[in-house]
Order: sequence, then C-alpha cells, then structure tokens
Amino acid sequence: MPEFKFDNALVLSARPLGERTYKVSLLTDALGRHAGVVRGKKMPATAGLFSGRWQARLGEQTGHFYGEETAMPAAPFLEDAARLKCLLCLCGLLDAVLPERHPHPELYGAVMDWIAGLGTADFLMRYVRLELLILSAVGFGLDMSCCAGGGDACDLAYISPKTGRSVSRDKGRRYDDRLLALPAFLWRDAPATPRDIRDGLKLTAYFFIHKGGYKLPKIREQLLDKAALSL
Amino acid sequence: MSAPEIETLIALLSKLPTLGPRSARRAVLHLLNRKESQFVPLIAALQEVADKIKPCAVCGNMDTSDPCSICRDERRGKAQICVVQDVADLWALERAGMYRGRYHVLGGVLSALDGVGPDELKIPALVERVAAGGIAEIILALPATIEGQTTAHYVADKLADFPVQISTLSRGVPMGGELDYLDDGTLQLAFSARKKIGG
Repeated sequence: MPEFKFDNALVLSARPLGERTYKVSLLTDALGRHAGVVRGKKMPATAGLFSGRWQARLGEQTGHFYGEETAMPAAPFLEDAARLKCLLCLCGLLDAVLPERHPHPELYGAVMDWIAGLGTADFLMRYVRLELLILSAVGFGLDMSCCAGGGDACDLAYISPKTGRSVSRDKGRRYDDRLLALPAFLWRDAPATPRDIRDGLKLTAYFFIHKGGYKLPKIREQLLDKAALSL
Repeated sequence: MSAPEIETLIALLSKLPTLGPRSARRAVLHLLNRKESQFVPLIAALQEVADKIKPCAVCGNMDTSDPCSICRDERRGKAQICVVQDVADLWALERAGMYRGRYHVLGGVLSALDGVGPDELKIPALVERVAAGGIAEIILALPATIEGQTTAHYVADKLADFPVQISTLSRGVPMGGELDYLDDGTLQLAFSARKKIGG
C-alpha cells in the first residue's frame, strides 16, 4: 500500500467534501503539491502546517492524509491585513500553478523561509522574489544574468515579454513601451520602493498569465493596493 | 432494482450533506414504510418551505417574509450590525440568544482558491446600509481563518470612512478547552488577548 510521511506541509487549500471529510491540498517537502482527503471535525486551515502521512490503496488514488495541524504561522498576523493577503495569495498561487506530486524541495524551502520571516518589514519584497522562484519552478524562469541586447549587465532595467530575458536601461530605452519594467531588487541586492514592488508584481503576473496561462488569485490584485504598499 | 421514480428520489437525496447513495436508499425506504406518518408531512413541509422561503433583501437571511423577521423586529437594536459569513452562522448566533441587534450575511469569504473576490460578496450592500446612517457598531463575526480575517480587514477598510465602531469577535481558549490540547496558534492568540481579572 503506497504511503509517505511528511512534516510541516503547508496547507494550500481545503474544502469540505462531506460532513466530516475535507479535500486538502498540501505543499510537501518531498512530493511538492499533493492532494488528499482528511477526516475530522475541523477542516485544516489554509496556510496552516500539517504533519503526518499520506496513504492510499493505489498510488494513483487521491488517498487520505492522517495526521494533525502542527502550527498556524498566520496566527500572529490575524490583525495584519497586508500579511494575511500576501499569505493567502501565496497559497492560492501555489495551488493554482504547481503540478501535483512533482518534487520542488528548493521551492518548499524558500516558501518556509518566507513564512518564517513574515513578520519582517520587507516581506512584500521577498514575496515578489518568491514569485520569481515559483515562475522558475513551473518552467518560466526569467534570465537576469546579462543584457539580451549586449548592453551593460550592471544596469538591467527591463525584461523582454517575449523571451523573458533582461535588457539594460540603455538598450531598452527605445522600446520602453514594449518591455516590462525590471525593478533592481529582483536582480541585485537593492532596496525596494512601493513602485518597485508594484512593477515586480506586474512582471511576474505577465508571465504567469500570458506565458503560463494561469489564472491568478483575485486577492493578488489587492497586493497592488496603495495601502498594502505603504508599509 | 426499484422503480425509476424511487431511484430518482434516492439520487436526489444522496446529494444532500452527510447522505451518500446507501444512506439515501435507507432514508427513502424508511419514508416509504411510513408514508402517512412521515412521508406525506415531509412533502408538505418541503413544499411549504420551497414556496415561502426567500432571502431577505436587507440582511440576506432566509425567511418567509422580506424583510425577514429579524430586520422587522422593532425590539432589536438598529445601531448594531453583526456581519456573518453565511446563514448558518446567523442561526448559530441566534441559537446562542445573546445578540439582539441586526445582521448582514456576506454570502462567503474572500477565497483565493474558489476565486471569490469582493465583487462576489454582499459588501457593497453593507456599505449602503452603513451609509444610510443610524449604525453605531459593526461586529465582524467572521471565521478565525486566514480567509475570514482577510475578509474582515477588507470590510473594515471599506467602512473606514464612516463614523462607526468596528469590532471583531474574541479569539482564544474555548469553554471547556484544556491548554494541553490547543494548537500553538490558538494559544498564541489567547495569550496575546489575555485579560486582567479582579480589581
């Protein structure tokens, strides 16, 4: 009987299946996004951490998760709208874009690091970087190693929407209306202004929607709100 | 194999919460064996509810009249509106019997997974009610989940410009709850919301 054990899997989504059964989608360290059925009185909370094991009669079946919620990282932030929205958006995004049962240990680690640092002031900046990593995990990684037009690699300012490669400020200026803005914090160690965050979110959204064909969580639009960025 | 009419009834019943095909079949058999005492009254009750129940245009509650009996009750306070996720929550608060104000049923909470955005919820109707005046407090009785609290913050943002007090339900140790069995998140919330006792 196929079975695997996991610790601290992130609950990406949960919905009632019957009266006391829930269809749950988890982000696990070993098998990436994994769905299963949980039985119990209480539906596992989105963005909670769940530890236990998955078991099914056959490998291709949905199977059941047996275990318990071990932590609720969102608990300290229930009064913090911006962080809650960001966390909800992350869970919705991972649930929407990640293929099932495909290991992404690096992404899992990055997500856990981001959650651990949710209380820091730069959580939105790190969130945009995390979206870049998610893009990369689903096969749409952006190339920010050099200027695609042969320009200065130390002054990258744009991304080509066609190729996903970076373009320097000098070479891209003429095509400003056709290129996507690349905020500096995404390719080098630099601080981020609210405008940079907005540009970063627009950049990743473009590739998720137009290249990946994904539907982004509606709550993501609110991350662009002025209020969220005025932190 | 039973008659097609009975199969249709079983199929319809099996779609109800907690009922599967087997339990639906048992329920149908039970009703067929008690036609006069249970089946016919059940049909009458179902028909009556289906004919008469409608959503309240003011608060979203389900009742036989519009506005509902809660919205029409002059003894209930008009200055407080308790915002709930759905009618089941409204009924739960009514069962407890400690709240004597009005309600507003949102019809869900913001959800990334189900694509429920602010437009799908009855938030504009709530803003209209507050804008009409006479409201002193909005009580956000939404689930203590990330979706529920995100919705609460969104509603609070929308009402920020109105002179109303916005409050949420307290979170923490439930009645009869032992600390040993509580999850870390609940303990953390309970601890941060601790109250002074005595003098």
